[in-house]
Amino acid sequence: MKNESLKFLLVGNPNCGKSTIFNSLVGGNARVGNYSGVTVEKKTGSFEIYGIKIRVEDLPGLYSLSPSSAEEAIVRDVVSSGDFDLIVNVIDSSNLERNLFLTIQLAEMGLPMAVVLNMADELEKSGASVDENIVSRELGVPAIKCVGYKTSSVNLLKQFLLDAFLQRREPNFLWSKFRDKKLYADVSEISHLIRKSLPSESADWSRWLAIRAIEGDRPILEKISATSAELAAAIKSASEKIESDFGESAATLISAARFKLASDIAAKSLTLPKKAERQKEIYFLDKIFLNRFLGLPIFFAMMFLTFQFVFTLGDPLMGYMEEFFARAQEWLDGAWADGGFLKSLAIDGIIGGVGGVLVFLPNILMLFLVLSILEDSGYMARAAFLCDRIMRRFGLSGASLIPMLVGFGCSVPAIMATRSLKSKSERIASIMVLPLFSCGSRMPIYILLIPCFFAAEYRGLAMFAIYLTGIILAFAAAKILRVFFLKSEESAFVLELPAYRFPRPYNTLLQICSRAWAFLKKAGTLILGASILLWAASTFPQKAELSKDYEAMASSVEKDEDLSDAAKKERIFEINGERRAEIFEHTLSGRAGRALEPILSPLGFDAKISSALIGAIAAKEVFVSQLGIVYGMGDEEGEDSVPLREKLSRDYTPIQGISILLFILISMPCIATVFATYTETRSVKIAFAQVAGLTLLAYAVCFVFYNIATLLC
Amino acid sequence: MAKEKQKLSENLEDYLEAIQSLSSRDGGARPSDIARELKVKRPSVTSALNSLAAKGLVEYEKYKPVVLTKDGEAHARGISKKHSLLREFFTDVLGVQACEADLVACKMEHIMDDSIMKKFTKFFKGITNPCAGCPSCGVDGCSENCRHAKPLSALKVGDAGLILKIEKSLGDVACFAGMGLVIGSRVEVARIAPLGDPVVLKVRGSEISLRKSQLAAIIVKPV
Repeated sequence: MKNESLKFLLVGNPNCGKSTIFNSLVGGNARVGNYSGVTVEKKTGSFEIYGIKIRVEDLPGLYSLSPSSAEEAIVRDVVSSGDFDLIVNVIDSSNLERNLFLTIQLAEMGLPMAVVLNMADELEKSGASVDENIVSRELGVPAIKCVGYKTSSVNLLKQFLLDAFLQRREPNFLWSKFRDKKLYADVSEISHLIRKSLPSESADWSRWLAIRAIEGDRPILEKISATSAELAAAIKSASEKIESDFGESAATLISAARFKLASDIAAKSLTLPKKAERQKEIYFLDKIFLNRFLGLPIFFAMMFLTFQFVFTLGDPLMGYMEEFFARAQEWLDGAWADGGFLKSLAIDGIIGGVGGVLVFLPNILMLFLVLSILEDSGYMARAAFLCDRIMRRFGLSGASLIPMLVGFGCSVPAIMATRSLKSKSERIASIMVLPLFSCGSRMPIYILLIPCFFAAEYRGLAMFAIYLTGIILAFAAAKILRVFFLKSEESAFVLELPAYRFPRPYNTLLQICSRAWAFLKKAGTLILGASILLWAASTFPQKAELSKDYEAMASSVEKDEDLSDAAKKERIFEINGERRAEIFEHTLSGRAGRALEPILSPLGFDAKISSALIGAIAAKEVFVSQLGIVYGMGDEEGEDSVPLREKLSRDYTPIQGISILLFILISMPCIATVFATYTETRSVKIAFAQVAGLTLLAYAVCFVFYNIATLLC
Repeated sequence: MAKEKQKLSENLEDYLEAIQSLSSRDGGARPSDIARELKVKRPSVTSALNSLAAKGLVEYEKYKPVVLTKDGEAHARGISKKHSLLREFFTDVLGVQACEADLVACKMEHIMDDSIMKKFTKFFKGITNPCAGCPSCGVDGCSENCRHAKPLSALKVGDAGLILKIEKSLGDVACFAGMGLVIGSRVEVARIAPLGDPVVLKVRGSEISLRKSQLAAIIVKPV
């Protein structure tokens, strides 16, 4: 036992302060990952006491053990796997009765358990108190009062948990105390049957299995009917009998009975004050935040501030990051005199590609900071509550509004922010349409293109129209997705409005750090690979012999004495541009651009635009520099380059221009977004559907627009 | 309960009732106590107990307290339920004096057949307010047949009610149960969102939000 480490599970309701306890227990020792196959966060860590290493797994918060969501299914699986030494049930003392409902479900399993009555300070502030000895006696397992963020309290907790493990006490079977003997008799009958007909290893579980089976727990029923059809039939008839005897479904009755047990224990162990003070406080804040007239304006102001905070504070930091990577490129360029392809790979492929994604790190951290504050303080649930009515029209719920607002900045953090959505289909629908909220990287493209095709007085309007088109398309697409592809779950809307609390800085910091680490790991693997591929596509194959001798041309210009220095410089610049254009045309990207031309020409695009669009796959703003290369302008060209604009407005009609703008807005998101979609959904299919769906949508919209517009004009 | 119940004589049913009330009061029923309770002689008690034991309704050994078997307990409970319901009907609906009501109920409980009793219960619950003292009533004490029952959506802000029934249309029962939405919970409509939907409910010490369309599936009795 000495060298082996112990494994404790933290289980509890959402908002019971479980994460605070976890963070206090393991400190910076936490690791965040995912449970395989799903996007539920898996938090593990460890601490040591008396030289014994104890691993702690912080399971997602849940209200009951029935597998109605991904989180709950995971907790159920982990708990019923039995691969642990102690269940640590964290309870919010200020909401004892409701929290005990889960405790009773855990106790039914009859596994070694300990109860932590957290937030004891909050309860005592309201003048009430809880007696841990009574809770312990009633449940039959050790219990302790705790204040999760206090070091002294947590040190006691560590000691207590070790003691609890050594005692290995299994909880009382509470149902035997239940007053309604009839229901209990039915449960005992089934458990007796189970003990008789299932293999002996299930015998210890028979009472638990009986309750769950009568309740209609599908996984358990499936397992039972696989082993014994007779038993399954007996259970079915028992639950039907209960239903006909009581006029209610067995599941309803069992839930009600559990609550009765819970409220009995709560009534025995709580000493209530004469007046509930805290309740008043919640009421006061909700009176403002959920006010009929003020509620929504306050919400929009909050969102505006969030947006401002993330992008105005994040952007300078992002600038530093960009500069850092540019410096790194420069330095490498100077230090590595004769590197050939490897050098180009390192500079343009790796630093350019991975750096291009890493520059979002400050923005992402800022966003997670704000989101974690909003979440921990209890406002997030209120925001979802306020906006639900509007969002529901489009098959979404209030909670999906926040990722959408973030999406105007960058789709990557926006997709990560969808984690707060409870319903899986709703979350997928949101992720799918998020790239339609025009992100900041598309701004340079609009700034380049709009002045080419619109008179000065219409430019602002054009910009607004682009954003609005994106929003309308996003909501329409969400509706279509929810109606045809991602149905269901409409009915399962239920949201707790937790008490307002001050976020604990230490907690917030730990949360952000672990998220940042997860993001960095991603950048080092998936994004690195993709960047190398894209770099290779726009570098190879190299043209062995160029059609003209550009170097000779350049040196002849250099020697030409009729030209002024300025004119010489301009001429050489043009020659270099032509050279780059020719090289690019020969590469895979260049060829792909030409190959795509017949497909894209119905939208009004030629080979040049098509090639530039391929560049936009890496990152949207690359469209601008790629277009510069194709036009032989050199890749230093920025959005305010006048010659490029002149050429564009010469080559394309305004209708073609609008078509290009629409395509940029709608078509496939950048590689970072696609990866974010993949990592958040863990599904190649969804990531692919997003790329294909948006690109097809873009094609359809541009096709219709271009052809109707050309017909009309 | 669905099992075919043995037909018992009026006399034996009285014995069952007495044993039940004695054992719930004193923790066990001795034959001498039974004799005193029913105002009969010891030998009649012995013979009655023998015949009840033969029917498998009591466990009876000499010099030991009498214990009801599972069947016996169910039987006794059925009778006392009938008794209290009938007595309540006489006093509350017909205005009969309590002692007289008790006497008549004591006779009627034996001839009231189960299926008639079921119909009678339904009728009785419909015309009276069976909700008096409801917060403590059992799972099966109050039902959606209560004439005060209405969907939660009919309640205004500030109103509260006790949950009598949760319709299946609400969805996964277990999911809502964890939030405190179970039969017997007290819910209060705390507020409505600025846009008219959803609604905040206070239940079991916490605040949860549901959509109006979902409230219709929760039947409550206003309190």
